[in-house]
Amino acid sequence: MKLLAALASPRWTVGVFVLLAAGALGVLEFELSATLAMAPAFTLLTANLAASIATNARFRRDLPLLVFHLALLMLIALFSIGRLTYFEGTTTLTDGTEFDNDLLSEERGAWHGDGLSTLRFRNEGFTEKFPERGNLHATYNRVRWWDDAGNSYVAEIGDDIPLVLDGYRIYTSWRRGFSPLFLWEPDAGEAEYGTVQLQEMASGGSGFAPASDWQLPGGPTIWVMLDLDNLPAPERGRRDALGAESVRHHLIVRLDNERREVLPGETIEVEGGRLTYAGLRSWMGYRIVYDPTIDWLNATVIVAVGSLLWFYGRLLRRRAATEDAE
Amino acid sequence: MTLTELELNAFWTALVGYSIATALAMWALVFRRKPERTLLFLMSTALLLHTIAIGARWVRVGHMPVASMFELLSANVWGLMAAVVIGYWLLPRMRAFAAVVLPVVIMVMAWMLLPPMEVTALPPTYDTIWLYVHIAFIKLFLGAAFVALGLAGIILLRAANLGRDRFAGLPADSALDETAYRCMALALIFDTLGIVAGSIWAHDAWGRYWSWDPLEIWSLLTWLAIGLTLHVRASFRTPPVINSLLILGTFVIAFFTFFGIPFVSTALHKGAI
Repeated sequence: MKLLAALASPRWTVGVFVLLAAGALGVLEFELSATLAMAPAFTLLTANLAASIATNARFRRDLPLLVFHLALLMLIALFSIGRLTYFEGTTTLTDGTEFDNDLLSEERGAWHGDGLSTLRFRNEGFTEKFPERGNLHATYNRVRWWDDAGNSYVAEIGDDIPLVLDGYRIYTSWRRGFSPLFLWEPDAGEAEYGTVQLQEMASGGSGFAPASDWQLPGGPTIWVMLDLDNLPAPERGRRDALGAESVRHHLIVRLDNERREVLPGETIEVEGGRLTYAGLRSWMGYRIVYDPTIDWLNATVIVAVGSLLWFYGRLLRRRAATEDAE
Repeated sequence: MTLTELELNAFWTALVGYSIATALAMWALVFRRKPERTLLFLMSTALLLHTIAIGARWVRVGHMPVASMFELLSANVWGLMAAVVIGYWLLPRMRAFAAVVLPVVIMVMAWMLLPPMEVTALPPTYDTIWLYVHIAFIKLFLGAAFVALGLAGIILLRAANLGRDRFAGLPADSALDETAYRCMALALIFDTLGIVAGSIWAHDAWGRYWSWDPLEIWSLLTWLAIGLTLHVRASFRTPPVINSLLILGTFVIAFFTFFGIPFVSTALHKGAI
């Protein structure tokens, strides 16, 4: 009981405020992991709050105060659960291809399940709209998805408009680029289509030409560069798929020391088969995030803010009435 | 008259009005005069003109003018002046607080005139009702804290023996402290609502309710400072001078959050652009 009383001291609460501030500054100034930086403060806050509620009679006399502090405890619990179950990852999809769980980057909590493996969606092309002023443009990406019964739907998502599938929120990212489509016909085996996602285009098509390596299935590795004759800077209005369908271009394909220039529809002979350049497509980057605690957090925040309004509203009304009486 | 002309005329007249109001408030304090109705009329009229200027710009650029540094500072000057006018009206016995805080408005106003008045675009992700809710609550928070700062300033000036005679006609420190406490309680409520509205917007737009960007971290520090100020006063029954110092410290942190971070961070919110 003595320990509880000691832990409930308001001096510890002052310590919690200072520790929380120090943790936040640690994240900002020293780029510490937010989870690690805030964990000591949240641990002390939990102990201090729980001990205060258990030992301080004021909480039993003052319902809004009790509710507010219980809501704070609930928030800490939800933050912890959120860190254990969250997911955040990035991926890219060429126009017409489906998500196959291939992620460029990912972070996940220790308790995050494998719900990602059941996600099914396909990139069906995107449009960018440029405003009258400024360089900030909006993205509208058409994405096909399927429900559990196999019915398919098309959603239009963007930088701030997600597709929500099984709690996963899928947004477009700022990453996007060109993706040449090839038909690879090996000497032995079946022909198949493949795409190469070239590096992102700098805004307006300036800078280095996009290029990437590609290991042909069962064949050699080629290096592909897109040579754009003249990619016009984005004008006000709209642009589909970075202008992939209309831009004049040719590909430079390099295999060992051999360099070829290829136009759409042309075929080149390479070691082990024939490679036909079918045409230029685009690819889009995606951000996938998941946090199952959001609805609970919203509900708890409503309770916390409501109790705060109740607590201070009562105080403000009482003092205003006293002043009127004076 | 074109919209641009209306905006500029209203804007510059409002600035002249704010400047005269500040000079008048300080003159009244120094020479112990009480031109209260004149001052209230002057501040209200200037605020109305500033509102017209912001409204004209809003119509002209097609979005809420909070995108450029000039627009941010202008909106904050408007919010601070609105708080002073409301406080001046609601707290007739403590109107001297205006002379303490109006120089801060003049300072921000001078700063506002440094960046170009250029028209910039809002990022597409700012096209949401939560932007208005978030900004409205944050303005209310800053306004409540600003009035508390004015009251705390009087307590601190008295404690430092500066202008004690000139503040003699005001209520005792304990009464000023009580009112400042109520303002800070309102500040906590509005700041909490502002942060919550921002988090809902962030989660909706970017999938993360908290990104630990500089502005978010400093807004957390501001919230903690308000919480600490209220907690210390309620738990330790501290004297008005200590409470006033805590209010001053909180406002300094809030001021840096609102006015300093735009120089540290390249975007209002990292995740927003």
